[in-house]
Amino acid sequence: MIPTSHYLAVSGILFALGLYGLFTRRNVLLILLSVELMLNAGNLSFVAFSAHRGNLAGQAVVFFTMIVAAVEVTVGLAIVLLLFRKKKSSRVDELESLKW
Amino acid sequence: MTLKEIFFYFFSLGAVVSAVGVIRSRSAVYSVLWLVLAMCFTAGLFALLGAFLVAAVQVLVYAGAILVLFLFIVMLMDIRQTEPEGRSSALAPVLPAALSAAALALILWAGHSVKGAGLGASGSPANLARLLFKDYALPFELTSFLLLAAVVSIVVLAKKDAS
Repeated sequence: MIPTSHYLAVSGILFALGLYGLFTRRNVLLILLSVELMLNAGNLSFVAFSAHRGNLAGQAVVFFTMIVAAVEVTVGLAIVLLLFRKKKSSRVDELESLKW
Repeated sequence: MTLKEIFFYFFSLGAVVSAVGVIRSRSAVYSVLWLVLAMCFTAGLFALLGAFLVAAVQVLVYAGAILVLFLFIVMLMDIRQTEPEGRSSALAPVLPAALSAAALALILWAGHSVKGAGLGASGSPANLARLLFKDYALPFELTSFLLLAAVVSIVVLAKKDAS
C-alpha cells in the first residue's frame, strides 16, 4: 500500500509549482491557470485524507471546489476578455489603472 | 513493487512534469494543454485512492469543460507573443522560488506526520450521491445560487461591452 504521506507530497509539489507560476507569470490567463493548478493540488489533499480517514466527506468537498473553480474561471475569463478588448494586452504589468 | 505502486509513481511523475510544463511553456495554448494532461494524471491518482466518481468528474468536467473554455478564450484573444523575455531581471524568480520552496517544505513537514495508508474509502457514485443529497443537501443546493450569480454576472459583463 502507498502511504498517505506520498500523496500529500505530490499534492505539495503541485501546489508549490502553482504558487511559483502565480508569482512569475505575467499573462493574466496563465495566472488563472496557476490558480487552477493550486486548486487541483488542494483537491488531491482532500481525497488523500478522505481515503486516510475512511470518510467520504473529503470527496464531497472536492465537488464543491470544482463548482467554485468553474464559477471563478467563467467570471475571470470574461473579465480577462473585456480587459484584452480594451487594452489590447493581457499582461498584468500593463493593467495598472483601475479605471479608464 | 506492486501494480498499484507502479501506477502511483507513473501518475505522480506525469502530474509533476505536466505542472512544470504549465508554468514553463511560452505559449498560453501549450500551458492549457499541459494543464489538461496534469488534470488527467491527477484523476488517475484519485482513482488509485478509491475516489472513482471524483476521477470521472475530474476528466469530464474539469479537463473536458473548464479547460476547453480556457482554450476557447486563448484562441479568441489570439495572442502572438504573450510574454516577451528580457524585461525581467535574472534575480526576479528568486523570491517566488523561495516562497514556494517554503510552502513545499511546510506541506512536506506536515504530511510527514501522517502515518500509514489509512482505511480507504470507496467513492462509488451510490455512496457519494447518498452523502451529497442527504447530509450535504443544503450546501449542494446553495451552489446553484453561486452558478446563477456567475451567469448573471457574465450577462452583465457582456452587455456593458456591447453598449
